[in-house]
Amino acid sequence: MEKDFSRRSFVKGMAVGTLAGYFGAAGLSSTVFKSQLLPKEKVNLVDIGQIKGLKIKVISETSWYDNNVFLNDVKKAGGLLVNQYEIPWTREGVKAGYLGDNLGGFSTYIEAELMDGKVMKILLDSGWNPHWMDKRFKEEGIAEKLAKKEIDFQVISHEHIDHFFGIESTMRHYPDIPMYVPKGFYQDGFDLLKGKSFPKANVKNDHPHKGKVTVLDSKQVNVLYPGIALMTFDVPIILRVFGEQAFVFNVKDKGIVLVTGCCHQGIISYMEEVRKKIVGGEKIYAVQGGLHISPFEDWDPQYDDLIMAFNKYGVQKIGCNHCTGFITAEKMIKAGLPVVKGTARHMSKRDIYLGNGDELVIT
Amino acid sequence: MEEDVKEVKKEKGWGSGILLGLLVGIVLFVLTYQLLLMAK
Ligand SMILES: [Fe+2]
Ligand SMILES: [Fe+2]
Repeated sequence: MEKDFSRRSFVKGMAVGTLAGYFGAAGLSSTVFKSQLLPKEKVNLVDIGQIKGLKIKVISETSWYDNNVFLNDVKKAGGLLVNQYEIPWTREGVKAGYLGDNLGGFSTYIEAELMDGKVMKILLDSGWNPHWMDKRFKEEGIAEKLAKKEIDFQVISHEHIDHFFGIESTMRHYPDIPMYVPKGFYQDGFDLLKGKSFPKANVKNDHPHKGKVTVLDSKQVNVLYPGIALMTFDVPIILRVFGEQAFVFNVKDKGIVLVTGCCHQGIISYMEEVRKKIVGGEKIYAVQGGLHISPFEDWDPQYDDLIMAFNKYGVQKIGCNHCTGFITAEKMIKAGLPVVKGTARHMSKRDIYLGNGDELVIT
Repeated sequence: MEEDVKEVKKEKGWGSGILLGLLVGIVLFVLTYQLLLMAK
């Protein structure tokens, strides 16, 4: 028996076997048994608490009136990466504009009822054109609420022109309003807040901010009050802006409600982050605000996938506006998504957006 | 004739070699996998 045994064959066999065993095990473990073998990702779900109800009112979602004029301003200045404080924005002679001015702005007013019955009043963003914003703030009673210091705090979603350059419209009424800005805010932004003017971009603030400014970080979910949180994203954005934050509300018996400014972080990554980090995040009840999909009304086939992906989250109310894009809103309606219609008033162009003066109430 | 038989018989050893090899290969893989995990 021993004599028949070839040592050479045995060694050859072992070499083949070892290679096959090693790579076979590697192959199997990375495919068939992947889910059992990969170390579990640590999930630290944050319980943000609950609120009773929520009222979201669009003060202005008409950021600018003529897309072509806007894009032309950017193009003339050198393109989408140019610093927004250095671009001479067109403010006269625009037919579609507000009194000839192409600039409008973005701002949303939010009332969130805490479980103890206290109503938190929040102003998200401050628009762009101060004349337009003053008018809208007056029409919707925001100016009065600011003057009476009834509004608890202001959140700046991101530093973009249409959300932040109209800061004077808030400051003239309530210069010590507590503010939350996202990490990534440029010094220019803090300077404008403190009263500096930028003549080239035609922006000024004659009412310096005197209150507390809190810079929020992307490292954690920032719970401001029970049921009210902000999530900050480290995103580089066009026109030299960095970082954006958006609201996460948790409404009792309804679920998570997301309120955004521009959503440059991407609506799907935003919803994914909420799912991954927040207790109850698997049930996103409503999304409101700018969804930043086709702001310039151009269409890319990949946006279709985005709309399809929306279905997966089971969102029951979508109140979109501003940089979402009318094409996107149309496609979402066509795809059967629950887009909440507006009234196309106060210079908002179409009712497929939740437009100026429109409300989304969740109780 | 006797030589031929011897030749065939000498081929023995492949099977057990492969079996042991497989075992060693898998153990080796598991070891490197664990090492990689620890290094992480
Ligand atoms: Fe915007
Ligand atoms: Fe933006």
